[in-house]
This record gives sequence, C-alpha cells and structure tokens, in this order.
Amino acid sequence: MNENIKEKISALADGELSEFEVRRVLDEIEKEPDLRNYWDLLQITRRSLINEDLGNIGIDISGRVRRELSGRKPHAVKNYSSYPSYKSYLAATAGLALVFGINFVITPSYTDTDSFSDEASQTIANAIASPEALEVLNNSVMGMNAKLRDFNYVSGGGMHANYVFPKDGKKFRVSLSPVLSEYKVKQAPELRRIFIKTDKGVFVVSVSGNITDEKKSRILQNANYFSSQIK
Amino acid sequence: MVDKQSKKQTNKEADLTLVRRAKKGDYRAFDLLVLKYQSRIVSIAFKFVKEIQLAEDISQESFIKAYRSIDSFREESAFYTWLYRITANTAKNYLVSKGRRKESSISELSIFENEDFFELPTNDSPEQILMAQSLKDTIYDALSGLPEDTRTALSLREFEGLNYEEIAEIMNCPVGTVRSRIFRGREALENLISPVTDKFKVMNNKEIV
Repeated sequence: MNENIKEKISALADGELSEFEVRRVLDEIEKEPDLRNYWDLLQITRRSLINEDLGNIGIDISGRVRRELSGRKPHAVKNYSSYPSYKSYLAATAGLALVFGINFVITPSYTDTDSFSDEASQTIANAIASPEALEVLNNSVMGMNAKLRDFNYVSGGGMHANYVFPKDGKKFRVSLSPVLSEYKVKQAPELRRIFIKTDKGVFVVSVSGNITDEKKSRILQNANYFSSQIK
Repeated sequence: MVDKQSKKQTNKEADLTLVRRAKKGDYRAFDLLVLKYQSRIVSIAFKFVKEIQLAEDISQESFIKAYRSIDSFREESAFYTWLYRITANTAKNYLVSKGRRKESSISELSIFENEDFFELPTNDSPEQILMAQSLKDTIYDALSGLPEDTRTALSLREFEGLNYEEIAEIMNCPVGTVRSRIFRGREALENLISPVTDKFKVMNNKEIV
C-alpha cells in the first residue's frame, strides 16, 4: 500500500483533509480494497488507544448495508409528483424489455453528443436493458435531489435518462451505452464519461448538461460504484 | 489533562468531512462511516434486543435510514449521536412491534439513552474479552516505546483531542510534520494489533468485502 495515501487516510480520520483531498482519498480507497481495510484497522487502533470498548469489532455489516442501499430506490429521487415514479419506470421498462426485447427510441429534443454503431452486441445490449442497469442510472444520482424527467433507449443498445434539479431548473442527462469498435463521440466540452468493464463487455457512462463538473464527476463515481450489479 | 469537550468537538468535525461528502451522494464516504461505527451500533442494538443476529439486522436498517435521511442531519450534534438515536429508535420500534419491550427493563433503557455511555454491551466470549484486554495492554506498551515526538503528537491528538494546527503550535513544528508523526505512531501500533484483530474477525466470522 502507498504510504502517502495511508498517511492521508490517517489525516482523514482526524478530519484534517481538504474536500479535494478527501475526494482523492476516496478514489484511492475505491481502487484498492486494502486501503479500506486500513481505514477499518485505523478505527480499531484509535478505539484501543482511548480505552473504548472493543466489543463486536469483528462484525462487518457494511457489505449488507451497501447491497441493500444499491438495490433500492435512493432518497435522491423520492419526492417528485409531476413525473411518474422511477420505480414504475423501472418495473415497466424491465417488463417491456423482457417481453418485447429492446425498444430503440431516438430523442432528438436533447443535444446529441454520442453516436454509436448500430451493431451493438446483443449481449451487452441485453445487459444494458436489464433492470440492474436501470438501477445503475438510478443510483448514479443518489443523494443529489435530482428529479427524473424521462428516459429512453437509444439506437445502438444504449439508454439515457434526463434529469432536472428542481432548485435551479438545470437539466442534465446520464447515458449508459456499449462501447463498440465503431464507437464515436463528439468531443463536446460539457460531456464527461467513464468506461466500465464488465464480463458482458465494456460500456460507457456519460453525463452531459448544464451542471458543474463536480456533480458530473459525482454521478460518474456513483455509476461506477454501483455498476457491479450488471457485471 | 483530557479535555473531553475539545475531544468531542474534534471528533465531531472529523466525521463531518465524510458526512458532507455523503450528503453530496458519495456513498464511499458513508461506507467509511459505516466501517467506523458499525461495531458500536451493533452493540447498541444488542442492548435492546439481546440477540446478535437481530442486532445486526437492526443496525443494518439504522444505517440505511441514516443514509436515506442524511440530508436532514443538520450537523448540530455529532454524527454518532444522530446515528445512535436512529438505532435506539429502530430497536425500540422493533420491540414495540413484537411486544418484546419488557425484555429490557426501563432502567436499563434510560441509562442507555446517554450517548456518552461507551461501555457498550457485547456478545463477546470470555476469550474475546481477554483478547481485547491483551490488545489494549499491547498498545499501551507500544505507545510507551514510540519516539518522544511521535508519542507526544499522537497523545495530543488521541487523548487531548487537539487538531493538527494546535499540536503544531505546541510542538513548534509544521502541520505536515504533525500529520506525519501521528501517522507513523499509528502505523507502529497497527502493526502490532493487526494479528489480534484478524483473530477477532475469524471469531466473529467477519464478512469479506
């Protein structure tokens, strides 16, 4: 393990990191599970030092909490009345995907920043059309108080969801699409994306719209975090 | 002298860094808070329900409630205090729903309303209790063996609850040096306790994440 990162984790435990550093450390922990164990050990050490009771230190429910939260509707999209519930969307589209296959819809109302080959492999197309993949999009905006406006499947096996922040009316789109050999993307300055490798193929999650880069990064990190559901 | 108020304040601020990230939707930050507090939360729940499996379920539900309502945490109290209340309420609601409130006497529960009550009940076996004591002895021996600068920085942080800037002022050195000394001190201690905590995890069948 990198000593420099461990030192930062130690400082994080003391609340002595800047917000920027915190994000960097969380990124590192996400990449290297041993660092997460280091955080755990650090807590035990500190509790031992201050003579705090060490009961139940071997118990770990963190995996259960994470799985439970990733499989349910997050609070970020809970209170909107002007749009149908996302759960309804999920249930309906999952059912449609199962019965009718993927229904490709192109939505010209939004600036097109991605264009994909029509030759998406059926495997990854199916993976993206799965309820789990829909949950990835759902979870990507967890905690951001964004409201879902609509979502659509797009030509080439991808899908995207359009959101709005009710506070300021800013709109953005989160897309989930397969990465293909003929994958082409317009280099729109407002678009941020990550590539996620799964056993069904590599796909890209992208965010575009009039929101801050920090929010876009946050959405992509969440999507990456919860993408294990479709692996 | 241990300044309990200062220490509580510093710990509160330490959690707020992660809480604020979690409020922005960063689950990874909340995950670290779960890791930090899970054993204490399980102990709290166990006090109410007296069954470890049930205590784990209630703890899980409490963390889920906490994450879903984290926007309502107004940072006036410590995060742990807020989490403690959620857990206590979840456990009480469970007991009420099952008609089992009588299992915990009123005096027991009211004592437990005090958030500073750190001697939490556990389901540890005598062997585990002995191991915990042995662990503490090991740590104190190791602490006394640390270089003076390292020991001083670590003690000011852990026992006096001072922040890095305050420690730097006392020790007349840069904040970065304080951070490094505290880290090195913890490293030395962790190397000693790691084998012991591994045994705990085996005993409790700790979930591999």
